[in-house]
Amino acid sequence: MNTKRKLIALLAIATLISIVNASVFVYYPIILTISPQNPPVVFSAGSNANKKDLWGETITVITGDGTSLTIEVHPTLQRNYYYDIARIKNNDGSNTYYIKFRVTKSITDSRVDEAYLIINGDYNINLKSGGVQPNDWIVLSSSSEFRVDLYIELNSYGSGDITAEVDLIISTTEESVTPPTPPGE
Amino acid sequence: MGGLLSLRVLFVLMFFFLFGFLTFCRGSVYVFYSVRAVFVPQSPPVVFDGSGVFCFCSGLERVGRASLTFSDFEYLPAGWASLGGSWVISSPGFRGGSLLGTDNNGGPGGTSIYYWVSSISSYAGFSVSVKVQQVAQAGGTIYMGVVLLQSAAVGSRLYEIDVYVSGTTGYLEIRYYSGARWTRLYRSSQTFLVDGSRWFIMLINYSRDAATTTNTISAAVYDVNGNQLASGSVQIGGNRYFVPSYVGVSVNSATGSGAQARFDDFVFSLGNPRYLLVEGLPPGYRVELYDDEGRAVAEATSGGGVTRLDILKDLVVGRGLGASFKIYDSGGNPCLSNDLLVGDAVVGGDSYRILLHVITVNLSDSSTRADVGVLPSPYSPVMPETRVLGVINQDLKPYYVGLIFYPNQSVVSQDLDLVIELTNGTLSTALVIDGGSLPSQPVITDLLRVLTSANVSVSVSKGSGTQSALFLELVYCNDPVLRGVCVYYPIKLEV
Repeated sequence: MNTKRKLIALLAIATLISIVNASVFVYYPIILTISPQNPPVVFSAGSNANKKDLWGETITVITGDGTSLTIEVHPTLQRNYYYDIARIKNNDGSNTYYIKFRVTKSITDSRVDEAYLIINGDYNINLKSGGVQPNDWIVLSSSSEFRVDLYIELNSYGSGDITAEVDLIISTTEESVTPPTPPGE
Repeated sequence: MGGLLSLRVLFVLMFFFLFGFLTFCRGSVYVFYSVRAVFVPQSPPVVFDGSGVFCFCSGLERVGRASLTFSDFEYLPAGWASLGGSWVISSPGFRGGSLLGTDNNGGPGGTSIYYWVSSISSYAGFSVSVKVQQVAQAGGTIYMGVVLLQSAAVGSRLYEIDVYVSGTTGYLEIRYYSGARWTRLYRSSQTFLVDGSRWFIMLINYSRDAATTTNTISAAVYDVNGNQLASGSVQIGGNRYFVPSYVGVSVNSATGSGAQARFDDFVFSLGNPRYLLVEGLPPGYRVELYDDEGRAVAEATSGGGVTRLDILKDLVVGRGLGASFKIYDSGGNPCLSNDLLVGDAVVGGDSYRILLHVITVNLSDSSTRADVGVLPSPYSPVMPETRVLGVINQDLKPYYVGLIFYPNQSVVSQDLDLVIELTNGTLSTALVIDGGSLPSQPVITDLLRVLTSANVSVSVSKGSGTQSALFLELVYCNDPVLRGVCVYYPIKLEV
């Protein structure tokens, strides 16, 4: 009798194990609702956007739909400062946003001694150094606007363009010190 | 009971987990915008100009005069008198007017003398120079030259150093008059042609040895180009020795009266009247001397120290009304403000000090970086406003240009007073840098609109032996209020 019971118990256990190994799928519903919004923070042209640069060139500033910024300037030797070529504006009248910058393509050209994107005259984003800058979030209060200046120091002018690429990171909070890297970067 | 307690702990842990998860989720909204900056380097539209070493003369001063009296005989000099003859100012002289003497046999030994009435007896050594020109002979001869008188009287003893002309042949002679008769002490073996138009320069050195009661007189005659025609020297002792008390010029002839001669450029000097001494010139620098009518008189190149200008041909330069110096650097370039005017007579034996400041400009980085050195004259720590640097705008459009001084990047001696400004016809506001009271923050001039060019000017006052190194920048912008694009070029200014 004992032997029979043991056999039945072993059979029951084996049956249970085979049921588990046979993948029991359970389905829970997840509902994602994506509601596209107007960007609360946008780029806009500064007072010197598309104005005259050195040698009659133009300070080219393209902001597209306000969520990207392309700048082309024509500096010369020594220290060049481009004042108010773009703006970062918080169009949200009731919420504060927090911004940082990630230099995704830094300048390695030996002609450049220094290069900075300067935010509101207070925050220098070093374009020769990769990574996220600055350490602390820059507070962009509701309805406020930041001026974007550009600074570059050249020791030679030579030939060929010099390019830097940066992500503007906008956060709704300032808790996280290290923002994530978006896919593809 | 124990199982129930474990279940409570599990619930508490789950609560904290959910709270943290929700908190994290609240901060996890990130938006990424791309920014792309493209720099297209250009050649500099504005550059510095004026590389090299150049000099600036802020003035000169006479620091010595060896002559005790001189005259260009543009007028009858005060303090002179005659012993015989008639003496008037006439033209032409070698330059301007001259003294015309006509012999009437009325002076000592039948000569006619015009002399300086101040006593020279206390001077044991001196030089005398005069230019002479024969106007008219008497009896086929003429003596014209310098006399050294024992006293201001017709009966005085005297030495006469003269050009003696017989016919058209000239000699250098030294004669002695005892009060009763003449003795010729020397006549040159060298002779020279004398006609009515030639001027001759006489240069005489006198020295006295009181211990041996010996006078030594050396003399030479030159043409107006400085070529020596005759020379000679005598030592005079015994009963012909006396102490000269007066000096003058004389005209005489061997026979008769009426001989006439002109005199010009008379100098009585305790030094060598042949040379002007100039100090303050670096080695290799050239000095040129022009008379008051713009004629070149002399030039010399400095070997450092004192430079000698040989002005034998015009010992009272020009008409005795002034002169001008021009200074050139070792490369032959004229110093800035190099027309140094002297308002009064320039006379052989004078010493002048040139206040010459040397400015060195080194440009680099395609003339976008300037190192400027200012070395003020050792004789004057004050350098008036001087252009030290040029600024060239090569663009077709104007830029707004200014200067910035950075006190915190500068080393400034306490005794430095420096003013730096920009000018392009109009002056910018000045940067006034007082070493004893430096600003705490950078200071900037106003911005000048520069279409083609501008200059950076500096004036300096400093103590001797102190040095300062100032850091400045030239800034130019495409708008007048430091907005838009601005470019900054470094300037290092060492004083």
